[in-house]
Amino acid sequence: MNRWDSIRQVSFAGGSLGLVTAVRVLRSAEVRPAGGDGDAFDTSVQLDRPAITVELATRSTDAAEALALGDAGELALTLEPARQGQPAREVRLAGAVLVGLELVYHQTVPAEAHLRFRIEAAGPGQDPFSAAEVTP
Amino acid sequence: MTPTATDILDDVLTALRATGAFAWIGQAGPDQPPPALPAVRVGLLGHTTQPADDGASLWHELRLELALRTDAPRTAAALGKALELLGRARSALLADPFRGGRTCHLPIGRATELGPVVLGTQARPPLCELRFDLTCRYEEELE
Repeated sequence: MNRWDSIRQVSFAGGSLGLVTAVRVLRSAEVRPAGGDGDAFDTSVQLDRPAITVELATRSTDAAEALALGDAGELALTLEPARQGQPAREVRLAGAVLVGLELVYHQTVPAEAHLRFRIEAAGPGQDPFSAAEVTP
Repeated sequence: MTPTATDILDDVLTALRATGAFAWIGQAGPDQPPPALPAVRVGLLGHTTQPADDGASLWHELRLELALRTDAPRTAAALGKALELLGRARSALLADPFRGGRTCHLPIGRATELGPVVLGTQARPPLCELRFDLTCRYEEELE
């Protein structure tokens, strides 16, 4: 069984985001409300507007400061393999839009930036999320 | 010890030998003085096994203790020499944390992990002894 260990690199719109300490990818969709009384206890759940939210923490605040809300591009992260000879893992999120940027400057510990991205499918049946193994 | 654990121990000894910094490297008993200085004595602290999260393999944790001993005419010089050798030994051990592909990072810890350094109590001046633990983790599939 393959396991992945740590973040090797993260890039957004072709630029490296540097010292990324954590990435949280949340894929979610709203549940479509029942149309009437007859649908209220329908056994099938229908989803509406699937979307992906990514929360990312980095210590490269200079890279974060250079970004602007609304910047868009592919968000890609590569994970280190947990054992020798195992391929790395790459997760790609197409069409990511920067919707939140929080910069925290501390007195005694390194400054941090928290970035939030929103990704929606370009069209019906299209999934902006993909993950695959990559050989070094 | 499992064959993999024996291989890991051999790899640790090989990594220490490759530094060329020690006159003696081995597994002598704790009460026997090393035949030449500077020396590193590698001892087995423990070997534990637990089921892996996939249910199809076992996680092993091999704990070794390394005691590095050197001497010099003055205590301060012996300590300085021991610290310099300690840095070389630790760098050599971390150069390949996967121990030639035998160990791996697991949810229970890193492939190779070095513990804190403590001053050995068995050596008296002008000898100086520094000790630290080395933990190696590996996974073996159940047959």
